[in-house]
Amino acid sequence: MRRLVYIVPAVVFALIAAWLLAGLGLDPKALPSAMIDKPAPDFALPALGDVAPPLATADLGGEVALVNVFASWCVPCRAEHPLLMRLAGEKGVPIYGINQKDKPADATRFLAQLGNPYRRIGVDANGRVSIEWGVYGVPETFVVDRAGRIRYRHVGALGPQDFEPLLAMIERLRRS
Amino acid sequence: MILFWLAAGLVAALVVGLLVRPLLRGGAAADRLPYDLAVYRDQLAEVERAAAAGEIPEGEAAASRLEIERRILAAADRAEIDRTPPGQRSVVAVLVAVAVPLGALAVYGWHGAPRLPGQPLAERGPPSAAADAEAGEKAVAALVRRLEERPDDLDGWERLAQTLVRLQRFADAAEAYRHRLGLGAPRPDLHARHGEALTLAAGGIVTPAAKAAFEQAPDDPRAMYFLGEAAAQAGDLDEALRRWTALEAASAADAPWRPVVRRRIEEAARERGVPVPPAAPGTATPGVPSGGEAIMRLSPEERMQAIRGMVAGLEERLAREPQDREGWRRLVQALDVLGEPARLAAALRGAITAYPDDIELRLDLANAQLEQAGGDAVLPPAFVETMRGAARIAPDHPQVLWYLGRIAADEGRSEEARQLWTRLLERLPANSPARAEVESRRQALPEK
Repeated sequence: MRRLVYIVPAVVFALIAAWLLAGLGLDPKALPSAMIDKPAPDFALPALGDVAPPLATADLGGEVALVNVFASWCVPCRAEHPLLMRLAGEKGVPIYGINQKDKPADATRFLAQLGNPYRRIGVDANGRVSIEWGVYGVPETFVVDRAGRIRYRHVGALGPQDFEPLLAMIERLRRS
Repeated sequence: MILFWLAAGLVAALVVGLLVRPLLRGGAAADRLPYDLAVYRDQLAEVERAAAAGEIPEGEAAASRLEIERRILAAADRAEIDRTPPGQRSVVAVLVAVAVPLGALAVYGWHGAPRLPGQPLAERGPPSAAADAEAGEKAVAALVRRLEERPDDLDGWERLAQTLVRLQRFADAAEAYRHRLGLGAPRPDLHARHGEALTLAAGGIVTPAAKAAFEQAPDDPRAMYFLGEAAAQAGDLDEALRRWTALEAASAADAPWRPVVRRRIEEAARERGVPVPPAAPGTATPGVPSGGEAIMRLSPEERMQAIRGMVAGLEERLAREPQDREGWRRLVQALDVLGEPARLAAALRGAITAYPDDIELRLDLANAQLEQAGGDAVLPPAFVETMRGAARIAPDHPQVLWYLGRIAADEGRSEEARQLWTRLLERLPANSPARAEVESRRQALPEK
């Protein structure tokens, strides 16, 4: 009977340890999104100086497009930027930017240095619109279909391995 | 690294010690049982006596009796738990002593980084980095002053850009390269360096401007590398692999960037899920004699034997066809490795006959003659003759000026020596370590 006093905490500890251990192997990018297959949230953001026109819900739809949340202070954004440049330039994919919690001067310099792949840019100074999109962190990229619905969400920087699947998905959505 | 294992071992030992100590010390409660029982028995007797004497009421006495009996049972219970046989306890102790370090090792092997090299303070870069930076800033200030006076000094702009790169001021360096290229006389390596500075200024991202710079120098190895990097960053691993394998194939076997390119090829192929392309053999290396790589694989004795064979062949061939600069260079290099100064001097004389205008050959010969003489304390006659020959071709070469001064001083022509060394000091850079030696020699010259 008294042994139980020792065994129960040990078992509880073992269970917690096993649970935490299993958590180490989880992919933090495989987050569920409540926004998938829903229409893009209702928003209207001001423009980033004269770098690009402003961005609002009405600009989405009509064409399959990417919505990319970025900031000049975000290092992975730099890493994925050449990929966005190629998607916009070589592949003609419309890309809209949401510039999150950034100084306009910094964002302008960022785009002057790395190139501007965005057709339109909305300045989300306080990050409220990003929250409505369900953004966890920067960078994040959404695929919006011709009906203006969010079809796919990519958390974190896009890498070379994402390029072709993304392009294939855009092609498929263009045909459907 | 050793320090880490020592610390880890110490912690493990401490934990094992803490866990095992109570197990080995064992049944303290069991040992105390007879004493506890005696105390409780005395208490019971006291309660009986007091009840019999009517000092406490019967109800209270019964409650006290019950309480003491409960304690007796509890003490017996404690002793029961503790009475695991000592043999069994030491088995548990041994298990703990083995399982704790093994478990720790297993977890470390799984989630730790055992292959990460140690980073002792002493190896984390020289502490003189600050002093280095200070010297660099001074050099930049001096270059900027010079460029303010002569803004079209092409060489000055290049040196400024290179110094800024070394100081990790990449954006400024890119600007300096841009300015340098704006002055005309472009070179592929300048475009490539400009692109590299732009890339480093962007934290390693090949920006559109950097890409444009690299595209101006499509055959420069640096540009080829970074254009591959640009493709990889844009998600085009096939293009990156094409560019890097092309660079590898165009590189010499001992090109310093080869390992980096190979690593990037392997990484890109793995990421793309294609087989890693085999390493291109590389073009012939100018620095190593033909068959050099095969020679490197031999044992030291075999290598010497192979070099001796090659030297004999070369000597014979060059005697017949002396117009072969590359052949002479290889022969000189090989004889230098073999440590045969007499043969080396002979080879150099042959080379000088074939190429009388090559100052480097003459200086090599002079050095070989000094080596043969065992130092330059006393200048051998053959050396003096070689130096005079060198002076006819390159009268302002620092080494020539220095030794002509020595010769003049040795022969008692102090004024001539003074003039030669004054000319030498004018040509030596301000921070040259040789200056002090020249100054002191010049001062030691006797006055007329």
